[in-house]
Amino acid sequence: MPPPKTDTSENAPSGTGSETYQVLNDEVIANWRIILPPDKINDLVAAHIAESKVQIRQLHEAGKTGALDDIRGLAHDLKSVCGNIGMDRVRHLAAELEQTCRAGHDQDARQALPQIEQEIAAAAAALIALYPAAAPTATRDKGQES
Amino acid sequence: MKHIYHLSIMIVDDSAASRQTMKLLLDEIGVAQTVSASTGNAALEILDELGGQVDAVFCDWQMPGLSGYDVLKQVRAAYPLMPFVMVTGNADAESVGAARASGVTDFIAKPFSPQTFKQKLERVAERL
Repeated sequence: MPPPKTDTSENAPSGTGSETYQVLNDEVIANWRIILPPDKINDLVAAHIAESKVQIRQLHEAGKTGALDDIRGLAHDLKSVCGNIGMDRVRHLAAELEQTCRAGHDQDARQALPQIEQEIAAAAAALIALYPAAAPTATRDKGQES
Repeated sequence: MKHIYHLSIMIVDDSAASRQTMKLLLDEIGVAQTVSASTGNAALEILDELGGQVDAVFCDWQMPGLSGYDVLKQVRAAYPLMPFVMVTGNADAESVGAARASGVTDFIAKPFSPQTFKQKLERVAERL
């Protein structure tokens, strides 16, 4: 993974611990552009947005009634999925959540979920701004899952 | 050594996005055949159906049900020489050391870059 970058634009920090992480890591996106044609990037973006939304829904469900270990497992999965597509701030928050769960800080873990949801929405919006063609597919996938 | 274009690769990951990522990469790289499974059990069934005619397995380590380690044990029992690449979000030295000791051929840390994935694939091809 490329190192996190300090950001000065609208990718500005929000919340604790994520100050040095961009909403999107440009280097990750650039790497995908080298190897995949635009239509495949759209597919990739749509799949990752759809899955991150499913994952935050599952995290909320686990946050209400699940065990801390369930939250940890879901945070681990979210970290990987968001990292793959360059959702750097979400990846960082998911990694923090995983550690929080490992440390047994139950309340802190459950309280972290709204900020993660907010950052997923921000990252999804940023990705769709870059790849508008990914939007309809992401919307359709979301509909199919419900 | 087998040419990368002639490889048949199995992907095992419970994440649809991760499976799609690896599939897109393998297609773009030009691998001959890719088979995917979303669970360890499905992977073992497919391998059995194919009579082990897969060149290598790229398997997520942390999955519900059968873990990557469980899949590895069964793959090693049936196909001792088949390259098995662990794909993991926990690429710390301890986890990777334990995986290597248990017989993985190589590992890829998630999230991975397309370049890293291709390098690992080329290393697998060199072993065949």
